[in-house]
Amino acid sequence: MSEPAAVRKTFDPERERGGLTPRYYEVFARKSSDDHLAHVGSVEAPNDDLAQVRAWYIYDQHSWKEMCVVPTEAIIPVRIGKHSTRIKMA
Amino acid sequence: MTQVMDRADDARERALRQRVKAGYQLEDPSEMTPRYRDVLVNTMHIAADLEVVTLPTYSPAIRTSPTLDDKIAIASACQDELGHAQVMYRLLEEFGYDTQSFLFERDPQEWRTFQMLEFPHEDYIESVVSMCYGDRAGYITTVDLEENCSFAPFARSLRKVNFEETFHIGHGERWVRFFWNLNEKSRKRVQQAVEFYFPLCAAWFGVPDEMKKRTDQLAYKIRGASNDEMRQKWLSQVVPFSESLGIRVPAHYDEESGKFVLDYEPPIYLDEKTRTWDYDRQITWEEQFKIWKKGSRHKVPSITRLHHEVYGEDLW
Repeated sequence: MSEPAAVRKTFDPERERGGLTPRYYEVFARKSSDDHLAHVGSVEAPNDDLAQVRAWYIYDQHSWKEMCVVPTEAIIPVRIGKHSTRIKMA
Repeated sequence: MTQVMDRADDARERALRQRVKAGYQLEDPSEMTPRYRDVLVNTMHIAADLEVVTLPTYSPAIRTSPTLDDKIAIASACQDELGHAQVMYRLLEEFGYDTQSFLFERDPQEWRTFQMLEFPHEDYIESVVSMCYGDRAGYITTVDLEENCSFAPFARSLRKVNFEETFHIGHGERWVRFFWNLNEKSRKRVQQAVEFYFPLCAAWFGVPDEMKKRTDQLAYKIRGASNDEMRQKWLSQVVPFSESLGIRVPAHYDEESGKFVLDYEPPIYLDEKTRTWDYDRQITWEEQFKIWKKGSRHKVPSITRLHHEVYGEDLW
């Protein structure tokens, strides 16, 4: 095992996360054209490009036919009375 | 191993326990009671830590893997595990966790790791033995969560996790079989690695049921099976597998009770330096808890290494 470097990692939230507030994206995918496009999970990313990369690397359990990411804030929940129908985390 | 704060057992808590017992699944944190939230978050917190510590545990074997394929297999398993951690971080952020400080700024001693994942692998054989026996233990706990957890988003997130874990177990089984049959030297090494891992994996499931004081995990249906039930499931898979090859393990099937039983009475003494168990030297549960809490001598260096590894622009 290599020795730890002397300097601890520094984290620049501007550079690494694109800001101080995390942004979330929902990930949808389908395995074949017959399959439903389904919610498979979500990722945190500073921008659309990195969201695509993270979705692709994290949800790589299948060779998907189609995958897309949607900013969580773009999703408008349709509510029935008090019942929440918002997209759930995973 | 759970540490749940003592919370009042009011009518709301009892009502929620009844609802989840009847099969109700929660979709949103707003539906939770304080006790439910505590035990769920605690479970996910430990699960996230356990995914991450597979990295310093498995990664040393990348260097010593015999072929490029083996190196890729280990690296790919590490990537899977970090993917699982990311899924859990995403869930934990809904409960106020900050991933950056959770992963990179928390004192290594504070991490909630299990002894089974606290010993960096010395070679590839140790890695495949660990996948065959240890990943299977992990898989049994995460499958139980996927099938039973009353917090639906967590249960759903484990579909991917469990799907990938089957590859690790399959990989472990194939290569354990290969090294067992390769030559005398590799067979000896497989036997030695199994002897080290077997009691660690059996202990993965925690203390015997009769000793368990906090039962909120089961009462709130965060998981479905008890420690002993899951341990029994693990034994029922690994004992026949080992016996079919001729690998000696300290457990057997007991005809009388119809159950698999350990040949020793845990907890027993582990010499960390030589990685050998002294089956004749029992320790007390108090001593065992102390050892688990402190972690192996590799725990802090392994997590410190995660904290200091160069990345981003610094890497170039």
